[in-house]
Amino acid sequence: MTRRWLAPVVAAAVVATGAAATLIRPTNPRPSTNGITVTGVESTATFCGGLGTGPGLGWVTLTNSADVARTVAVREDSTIPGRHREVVLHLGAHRTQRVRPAVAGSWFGVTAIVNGGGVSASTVAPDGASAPCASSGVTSWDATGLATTVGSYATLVLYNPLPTEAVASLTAQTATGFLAPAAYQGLSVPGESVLALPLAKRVVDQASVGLRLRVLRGALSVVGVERVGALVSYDTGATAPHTAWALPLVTTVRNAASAIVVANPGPGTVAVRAAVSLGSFSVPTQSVDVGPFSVGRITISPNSAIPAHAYADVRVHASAPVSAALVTGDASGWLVSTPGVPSRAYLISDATGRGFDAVAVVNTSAHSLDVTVSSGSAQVHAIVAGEQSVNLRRLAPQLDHLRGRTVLVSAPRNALVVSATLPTRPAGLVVVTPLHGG
Amino acid sequence: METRAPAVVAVVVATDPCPYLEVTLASLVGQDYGELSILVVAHGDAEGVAPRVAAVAPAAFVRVLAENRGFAAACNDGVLAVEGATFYLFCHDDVRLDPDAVRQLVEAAFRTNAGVVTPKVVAYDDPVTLLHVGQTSDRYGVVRERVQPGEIDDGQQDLERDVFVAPGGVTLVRADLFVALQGFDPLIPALGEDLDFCWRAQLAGARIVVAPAARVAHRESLAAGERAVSAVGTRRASRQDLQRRHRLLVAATGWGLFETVVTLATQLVFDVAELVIAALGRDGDRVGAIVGSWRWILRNGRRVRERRRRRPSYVVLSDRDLRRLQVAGANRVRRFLSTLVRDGFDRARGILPLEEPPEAGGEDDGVGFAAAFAEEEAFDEYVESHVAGARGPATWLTGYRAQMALVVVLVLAWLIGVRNLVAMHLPLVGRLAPLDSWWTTWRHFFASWSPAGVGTGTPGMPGYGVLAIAGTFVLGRMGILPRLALVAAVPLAAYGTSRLVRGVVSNRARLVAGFVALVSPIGLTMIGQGRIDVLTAVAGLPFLVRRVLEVLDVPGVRTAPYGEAVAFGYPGWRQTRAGQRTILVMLTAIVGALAPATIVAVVVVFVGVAVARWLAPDDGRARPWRQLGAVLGSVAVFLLPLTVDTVLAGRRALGVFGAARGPWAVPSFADLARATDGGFGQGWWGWLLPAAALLGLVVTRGPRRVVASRLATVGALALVLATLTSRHWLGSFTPNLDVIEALYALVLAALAALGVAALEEDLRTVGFGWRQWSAGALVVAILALALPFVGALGGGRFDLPPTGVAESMNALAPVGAGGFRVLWLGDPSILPLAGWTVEPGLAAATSTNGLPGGATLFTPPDSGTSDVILQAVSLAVHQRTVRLGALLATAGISTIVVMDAAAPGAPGQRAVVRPVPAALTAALLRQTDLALTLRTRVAAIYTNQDFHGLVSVADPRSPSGYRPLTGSTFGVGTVPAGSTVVAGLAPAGAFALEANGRSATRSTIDGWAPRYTINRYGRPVTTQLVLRQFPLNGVLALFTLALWAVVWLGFGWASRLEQLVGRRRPGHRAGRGTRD
Repeated sequence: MTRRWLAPVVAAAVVATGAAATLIRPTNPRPSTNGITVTGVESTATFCGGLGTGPGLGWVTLTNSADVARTVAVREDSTIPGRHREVVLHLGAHRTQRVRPAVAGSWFGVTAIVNGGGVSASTVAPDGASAPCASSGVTSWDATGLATTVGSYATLVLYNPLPTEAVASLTAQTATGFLAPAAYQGLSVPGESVLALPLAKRVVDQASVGLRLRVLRGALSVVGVERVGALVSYDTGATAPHTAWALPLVTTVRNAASAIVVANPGPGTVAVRAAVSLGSFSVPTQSVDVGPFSVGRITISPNSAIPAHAYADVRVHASAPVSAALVTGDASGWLVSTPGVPSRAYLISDATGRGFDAVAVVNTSAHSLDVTVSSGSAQVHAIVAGEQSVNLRRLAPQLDHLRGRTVLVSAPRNALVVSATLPTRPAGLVVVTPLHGG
Repeated sequence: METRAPAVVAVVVATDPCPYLEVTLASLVGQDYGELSILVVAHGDAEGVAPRVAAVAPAAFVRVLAENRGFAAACNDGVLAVEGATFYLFCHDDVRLDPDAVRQLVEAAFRTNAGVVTPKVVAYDDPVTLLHVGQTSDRYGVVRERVQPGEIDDGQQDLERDVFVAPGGVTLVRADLFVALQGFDPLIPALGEDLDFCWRAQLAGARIVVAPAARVAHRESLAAGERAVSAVGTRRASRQDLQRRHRLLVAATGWGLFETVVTLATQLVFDVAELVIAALGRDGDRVGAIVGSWRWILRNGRRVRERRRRRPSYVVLSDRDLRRLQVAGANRVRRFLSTLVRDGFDRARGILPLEEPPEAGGEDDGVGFAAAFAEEEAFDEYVESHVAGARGPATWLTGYRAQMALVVVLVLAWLIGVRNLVAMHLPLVGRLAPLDSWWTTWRHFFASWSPAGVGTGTPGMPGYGVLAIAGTFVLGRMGILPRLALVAAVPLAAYGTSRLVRGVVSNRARLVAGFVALVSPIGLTMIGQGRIDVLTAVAGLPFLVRRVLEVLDVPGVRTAPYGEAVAFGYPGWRQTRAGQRTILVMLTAIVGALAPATIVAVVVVFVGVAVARWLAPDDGRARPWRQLGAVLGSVAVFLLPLTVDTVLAGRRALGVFGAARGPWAVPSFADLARATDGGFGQGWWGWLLPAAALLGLVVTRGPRRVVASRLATVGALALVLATLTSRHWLGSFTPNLDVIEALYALVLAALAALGVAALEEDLRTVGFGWRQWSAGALVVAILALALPFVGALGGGRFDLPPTGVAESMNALAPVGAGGFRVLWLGDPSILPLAGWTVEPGLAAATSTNGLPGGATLFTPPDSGTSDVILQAVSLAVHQRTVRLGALLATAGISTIVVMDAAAPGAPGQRAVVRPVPAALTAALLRQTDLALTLRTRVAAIYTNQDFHGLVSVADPRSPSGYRPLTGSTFGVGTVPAGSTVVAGLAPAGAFALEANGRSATRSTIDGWAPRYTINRYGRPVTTQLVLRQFPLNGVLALFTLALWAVVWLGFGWASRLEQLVGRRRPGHRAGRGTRD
């Protein structure tokens, strides 16, 4: 080494370090909002809302997918603050148990605290519609698909399972524009209680309503409950609007109606296109322009451009983030469901005990995805091609109709969407979006 | 065979009035050179010239020209009348030649084969004073003398050598060369014809030689202004005008195309700069001359093109070869910068005149601005020659009085800047938690148990010992210490930085070093963040770095040799090598006790010097690694309690140097390079400091270069280390980033000072080039550094917030609890107390019964039992629990405070926001037993629903099964007989519960917390927790204190004590004790 090496060596060290530090700039990693894939947990909690009194309003199904029994501390909260009921359950391995709230009140929430992991829960309506219970509260929530027309009763159920009082504000997007009812601003939800908002009181006679809830303090479990006649469905919404939605199981069969409702929470007009794949049929892309703070609808069935066939695989692409919902129905009424968002994992649980008509696994990315399907000790690996939808039965034939099972579908990337339909006639009326990792 | 000397024709150009013509002719007539003819060319009003010539030199020819077209034209015209001459001797009419001058010139011409020969020129009235021994020139045609103004001729210049310009007066030119070059250019009537001719002669390959044996006295009446320039076309032109336009003409036609473009472009830049400065100095003549020169050259474009066309006909030398013959750089810019630095801007721009006009110049140009820009080289030795001892602006910041004045100004500015820190309420930010009393601080040092986390029995942190000793000096007024750190640390750092470069640079440069350290962003930022631990390092590092450089024998640093061997404990031992090294060890230990990352900084200095020495060896003999080992070993002994703590810490041992900050919240590399961390220095001006340092580094030469290279290596290493640790690329080794930044900033300040020193000394020996530009930029950068500093003075507190987030939380105490803990979560750099790392960007610490205080200033690296808290938080962050409250309840944690910033960030305040991991916020919102009590933009408070007191009693009626034992923190209370008492205090074995004076049976709960079962006595019993721990920590602390005291005695105090008791040992010097 000679003197002339000093400056180059030192300069090179500084430049190399600086370049590396500049190029690799770590960010504060966003947490997963759901711990369904976490193993080795000490305790978990699941929060179920949307439970009410009266006919058609259902119960909570707890499913223990673990190989060991779990102790579940169930607390039932209601719209009467301070009114609780606590029950401790011992849930055997791979067992399911129903919990019907027995505490006084008109709407209820159930918190299940488990001494470990592997227990999932769903709110289930008598006719089979279900909504997975959340494992954490949300601070923002967007949804659409609820209706306040005559004959339909849309209720937004805000459940605060935590001791902290929560404060939230609700705004709505309708066909007539933006609404921010004064009564829905600064809503206070006391800790461990439920607040139910009958939407029709403030958002009158709207066939489709887009909702945006911002939690200013605390966190809430939010479910929209739509009741049309005897049909009850749950709109679980999403924590944020998206520009792409995957709806792999949209029914097009005869005597069934299906439509995709989109709500635009932004100030600009959004162009929404729906690419429909239906067996060997070639279906033109359906589209609609949704004005600022407005809602739009794309009818899939009946639609003269779309033949009546089985399930259509619909991909919605919007020029700006929108909320989306799938509305299905027949002559007796309609049901609303929220499409899943790309995630790493989905937990499918047969909360009704009736199994599923179809379960579709979608790879929303352009590249193939290594998907793992596990149920109990059984585990199957499969590759799903990019932008493809595959029936779970093809991936794991041994799982049959999943009756009584809990299945975890996971992938290494946030590119997985799973959707399921219950066996109904006509087919595809009840669409279930399983619990996902957010 | 007859041998004749070559014929020489002396062409004397006589311009009326020519009062010295007779003398000139007489000296020519008196030459001992036989073949000399004299031709007098008289022009202008020359009627009386012929009789005057005839009277003195009857053999001389006289040629009278009708009009005065200048010296050049007259010479050309005269030569036309000459036939057969070998040499022409062109003479002014105000010269006096020594009798052998012509012979010496001719002999030199033959000896050297020169085309042009110039004599040694002395003053006309004072022949011992040298005027010229040839001249040099730069590429712009600015000539430079080879003698100093007023230089006495003592034979020191009597060496025949090549020069670039033969100055006019008396010039011997070979006739064939003169013809080849077509004589002088008549476009240059006066003042510049010599430069032009010599330039072309050089291009033609002719040598130009000075023959000092030939001596000529020259009146220089034209240059001195004794008579006006009267040639045709020059009537309205001043001498300055003529000089500039002729210089420009030479530069425009003396180069090839590329060099011409480069030369003229840079010339234009210089002229514009000079124009601006001259305009500022209201120097209208100069402005006119600059503008006029360009106008003249444009007006004479045809002649310029002609000259360029003619150029290839005689050119032999390439431009590259020609440049080798010239001096590098630009003479006038060099002079301007030197004047600027030495005498200030006013003199450089011409407002203040030089005290003595340079004799050689003799023109008006030599004054003020001209002194900086005119071609007469009178400046470089200006200070040494005739300004020595001068006062006022000529000694800009070189005199003691000026330096003291600046120091006073800086002190006053600093006092203004910290005026609100002296008496204001100190917020609970950084490490400004109120200190405990002097006595309690001592107790923390000796304590067998400390409340950090859930409690620990590890040895007391030596920082408490240092604080207690410091408290002794302020008579126990502990509240003074943090204020003192806030107010005095940065000035102390400035003083230390000045001392760091002592002996290496001038006092003025030392002043610059202190100034740069004072305005350095890291120190000001740390004041604003209340980080007195880092401020301690900021203040101590300059002294430590100096000591390390001395210990490592970095050349030039140590100004005095080590003292002779003296026995330990006797006066003089301090001056020995061992004594000096001990001082380094003690300083490191003291500062390291308060800010352990300082030890890492010291290691960086050692390593930096070692690396620099490996890559570029110097004369230093000390072995860096051996010295480093010795220092570290000694420091470990001096900080024995901390060493023990660190050894016990296991995998957390490296955490002693600092907790891991969130990679998303650390400064970017650009911020690190600017030595800033979220406060001052984040604007563009933040680059001034590294820019000044870099410029300082590149301009430094000579011996200072060695020191600069060592410091630069240390700085680079510090920057690299800071970058690596900020990104956690060194694993769990995450020394306090700000301390490492402080080292880096210190190096920058020292390099800037070295640059100033280089400007004073080193640059004088090199030609003009990038170094001069760098030096100019360095001066600008240092001056500009003052601007943001002045801007920061207004607040009077350097952005230290009036209140912290923590102290605004006044509802931390749970109702009905005897004792409780608060869990503080946040980035370690903003927590108001020391804690442990949960994961990068998330540290956890606890305070007991409310806000942090003096007991939580230092935390041992070993988290020990407190891991239960860290693990519980980690479980929550990773979504593995929703019962964090229950997990923390045993530790008596009633409240969790999550901080994203130390201060609320009210309008007008600069709040440094460093968010906690987003996963933590989400995780806390999932906990079923935590209630969010308060949420602000930068903080959140969660209440533990399962809290049951720091000391609790089993109570089946309570939801959690326990109720708080009210009374006091340490379990004083009354409980029913047969109760079970749980204490959230660790280690369990350190405490006993006395129930009515008897010890209760102890077991543990959750694996760590003591649970006491009280016997059934049938009636309520009074309980009290008692600490029963062998005072091992006290013994350790006592040993450490004794060690410090012994070493302190070593600095001569042992001897003094002996004198006091009358037992002085004779012959204590050399031969006993520690040797070098």
